[in-house]
Amino acid sequence: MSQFNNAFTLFLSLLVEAMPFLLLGVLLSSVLLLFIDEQQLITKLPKNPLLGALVGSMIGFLFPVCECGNVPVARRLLMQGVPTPVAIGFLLAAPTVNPIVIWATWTAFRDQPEIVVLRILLSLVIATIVGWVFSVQKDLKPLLQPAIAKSWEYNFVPKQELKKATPTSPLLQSGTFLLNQPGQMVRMDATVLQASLAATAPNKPLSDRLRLLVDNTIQELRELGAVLVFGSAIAAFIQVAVPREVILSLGYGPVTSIIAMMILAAVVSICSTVDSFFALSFSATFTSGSLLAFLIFGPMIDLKAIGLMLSIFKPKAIIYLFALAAQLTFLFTLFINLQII
Amino acid sequence: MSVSRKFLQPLDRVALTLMLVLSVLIGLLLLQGDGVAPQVRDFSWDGKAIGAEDTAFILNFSRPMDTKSVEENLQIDPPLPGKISWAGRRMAYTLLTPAPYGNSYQFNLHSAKDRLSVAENSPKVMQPFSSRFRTRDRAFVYLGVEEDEQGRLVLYNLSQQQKTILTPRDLVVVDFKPYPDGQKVLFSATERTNSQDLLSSQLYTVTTGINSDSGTQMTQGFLGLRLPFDATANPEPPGKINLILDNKEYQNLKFDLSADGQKIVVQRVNQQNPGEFGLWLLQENKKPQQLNSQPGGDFVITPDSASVAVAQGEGVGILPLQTDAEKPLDFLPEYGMVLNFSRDGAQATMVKFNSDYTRSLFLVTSQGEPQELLRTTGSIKSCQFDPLRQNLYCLLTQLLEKEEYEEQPYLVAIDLKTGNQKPLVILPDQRDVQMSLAPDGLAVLFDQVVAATDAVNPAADVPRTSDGEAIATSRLWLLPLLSPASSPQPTQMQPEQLPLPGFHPRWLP
Repeated sequence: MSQFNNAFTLFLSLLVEAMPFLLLGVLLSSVLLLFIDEQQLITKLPKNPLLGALVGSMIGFLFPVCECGNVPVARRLLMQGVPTPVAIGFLLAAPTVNPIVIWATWTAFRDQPEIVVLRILLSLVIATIVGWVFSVQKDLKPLLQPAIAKSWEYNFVPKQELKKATPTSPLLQSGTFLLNQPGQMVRMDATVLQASLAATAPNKPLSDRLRLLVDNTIQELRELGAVLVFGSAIAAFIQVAVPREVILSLGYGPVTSIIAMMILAAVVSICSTVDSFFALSFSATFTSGSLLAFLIFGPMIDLKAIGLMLSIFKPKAIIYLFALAAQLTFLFTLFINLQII
Repeated sequence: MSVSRKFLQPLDRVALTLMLVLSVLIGLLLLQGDGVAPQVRDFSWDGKAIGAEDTAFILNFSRPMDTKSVEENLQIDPPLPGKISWAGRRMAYTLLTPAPYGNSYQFNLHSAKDRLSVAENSPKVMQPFSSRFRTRDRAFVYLGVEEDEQGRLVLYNLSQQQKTILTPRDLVVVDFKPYPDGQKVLFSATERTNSQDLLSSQLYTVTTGINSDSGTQMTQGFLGLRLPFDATANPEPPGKINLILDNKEYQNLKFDLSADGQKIVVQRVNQQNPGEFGLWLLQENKKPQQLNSQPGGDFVITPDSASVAVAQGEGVGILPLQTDAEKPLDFLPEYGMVLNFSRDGAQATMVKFNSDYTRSLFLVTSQGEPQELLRTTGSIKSCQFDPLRQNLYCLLTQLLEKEEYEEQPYLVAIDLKTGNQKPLVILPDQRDVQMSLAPDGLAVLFDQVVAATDAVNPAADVPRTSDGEAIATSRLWLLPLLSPASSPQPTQMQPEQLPLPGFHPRWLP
C-alpha cells in the first residue's frame, strides 16, 4: 500500500510540476499559430542545416519553456513548416538553453561555474549535431505521426517543389503566393484545418484571433495534457519499481557514475528548471562529469515526455533522437571525467 | 515501395553511421583510462593576511575526496589546531583559537586520494598542493604625550617594531576607534590653534597603511579564475586624513563605530540650543540624520550594527539604527549601562547600580538567565570578551579603606563558565585607565597616566584624561597572556613596559 502511496505522490508531483509549463508551451504554440506569420519566420531562419540547428537550439532564449512545454512548441514549428534541424535543435536544447534554467543552474552551482558553462555549451553542441543529422532526411513523412505529417506536407512540400521549379526567384517564397492556391484546401482534416486557419489569420480581426487562440490552447492542452498524465503515471510507476538507490548503486567511478546519473535523469523526469538543485545534492559523491550528464541528458529525455514526443514522431525517430543524444552526452562527459576534471 | 528502401531512409544511414562512430570513440576513450588526478581547486586563505575574524578556511577539491587521507596529510606550519568538517567536495577547517598575529604560515597537502579511486582499490594520489598565508601584523594605536607626538595618534606595529605618527600636528585627538579591517581609524579631534573649546571636536578618518588583502575578502572571478585586479592589493599610504563630520552647528560629544564599519553614531548638541541633544546616525554617502530618541548617556552599537544600546534614565534602551523608527526596540530597566558585547552578539556585559551603592557586573546572554559575575564597592570600568568567549577581561577598581576616598584599579580575568575571578595585575592609583585586549586574545595593553600636579594652568593643547586633568606623561604596558586554548585558566605573567610614552592604547583588529 505504501508503494502505491509513493507512486501516487510521485505521479501528482510530476504532474503539478509539469502542467504549468505545458500550459505555457501550449499558449506559445497557439500564439505562434495565430500571431506569427510563419512564412516570414521561415524565410528568416537560416537554410544551412548546421546553422539552422544552432539557431533552433537557441530559440529557447525567446521561449523559456522546460521539457514539457517545448514539445507543443516544437510540434507547432514542424507543422508550420520550419526546417527540421531548427525544430529538432529547439526540441533538444530549449529546456536547457533558456534564461530561467541558466539562472537556476548558476544559483545551484555557483562554486563550480564550469558546470553551468559546460551544461549550456554541450547542450547546444549535442542539439546542433542531432538536428544536423535529422536534416539529411528531406522527406519527414516516415518519421512523423500521420496527423503532423499531413500538416507538414501541406506547409512544406509545396514550397520545396515550387522552389525546385523556379529556384532563382526569391519572390516565390513570400506568403501570399501559397495562400492563393485554392487546390490545397481539399483535405478536411482537423490539423490541416488548423493550419489553414492560421494561414488566413492575419486577415482576421483581433477578437476572432483571440477566440481562436483560446480554442486552440484548450484543444492542445486536452490532447497533450492527457498524454502528460499518462507519461507521469508511467514515470511514477517506474520510480517505485526501480528505486533510486538501485540506480545510484551502479557506482561512483568515472564511467559508472555517468551511466547511473543518465539513467536517473531519464527515470526521475524532473523539470529542467529545478533539476540543478536536485543534482546539487549528488555533488558530494558523484563526479562532475556525471552531474553534467544528468543536467544535459535529463532535459533532452525523460519518461513523462516520451508520451508527448510520441504525439509528434514515430518511435523510430525518437529512438534515434535519444540514442544519439545519449551517446553524445556520454562521450562528452566521459571525456571530461577521464581527461579534464 | 520496397522494404529495403523503407528501412534505409537517408536518416537511417546517417544516424546509424554516427552511432557507430560514437561507439568507437567511446570505446577508445574508455581504453585510455582515467588520466586525471584530483587537485585542490581553491584555498580560501591563499596568500591572504588573516585576522581574528577569519575563523575558518575552505578547501575546494576537484573531485569527491577520501576524507581520511586528506585529514591525515594536511599540514600547517607552524601548527594551527582546528576542526575539520566536510560538505561535498569542500572541506572547512575551523580554528580552535584565533591564529596568533604577526605569523606566516605554510600550508601543505600531499598524498591525499580521491574517494573513487580508493573505492576501486587503485588509489590515485592528488597533485601536491602548497600555499602560504599570514596573519596580520600585531599593531596598536595610542595617543602620544611627549613633545612632537603630543595629542597625536600614533601607530605602533609590534611585529615590525615600527612607529608611525598618523595625524598631523595641528590636530589634538580626543578619542578614536579603529575600523573593523584596521585600514582606517575613526577619530575625533580639536584644532590645536583653537585654544578655548575642548568640545569643538570634529570627526575624521585616517588611513593606517596596514592590513590590506584580508582573508575575508574573497576575490574569485568567473570560472574560478582569480581576477587580475584586486581592489585591496594596494594599501593606501598611512596618514591620509578625511573629515567626516564638522562642528559648525553641533558639538560632537561622543561617538561609536559599528562592527561592520558602515555606521557611526554620534552624540551631538546644538551650538545655539543646548536643549537639542541627541544621537545622530552617519552613514557613507548620506547626510547625518538625527535618531528619534530620549536623551541618554553612554552608548554602544550592537555587534549586528543594527541598533544601539543607550543608558537612559534608570535603564538601558535599545534603539534601532533607523531614522524613521518611532519606538525603542527594547528597554532593560534593571541595568544601568552596557559595557560590551561579544563579537557574535550572543553575550553582553552590563552593569547594574545597586541601591546599597555597590555595582554588579552581569553577563546577559541571548538565551538563559542573566548571571551576576561580581559585585563591588569600586567601579567597573570596562570588560572585553576573549575571542573564544571563555574568559572575560575586566578593568575594575576596588575601594581602599582609607580616610581619603581612593580607588585602586586592577585587571581581572573572569572565567565565564565557573565565574571564578583571577586578578592579573594591580595598577597604581589613577582615575583614567584604559585597557585593550588583543584580537587574538594573547595580550592586554593598558596605560598608566601621570597627571600634571602643578597648579599652573597647563596649555590648552595638552592632552587630557576623560576627567579633564592635564596629562604630564603616560606609559604603556603590555601584559602577555597565554593562549586561551592551551590553558583554560589565564596564567599570570609579568606586565612589560613599552618604551612608548602614550595613553589610551587600542589594538588594531
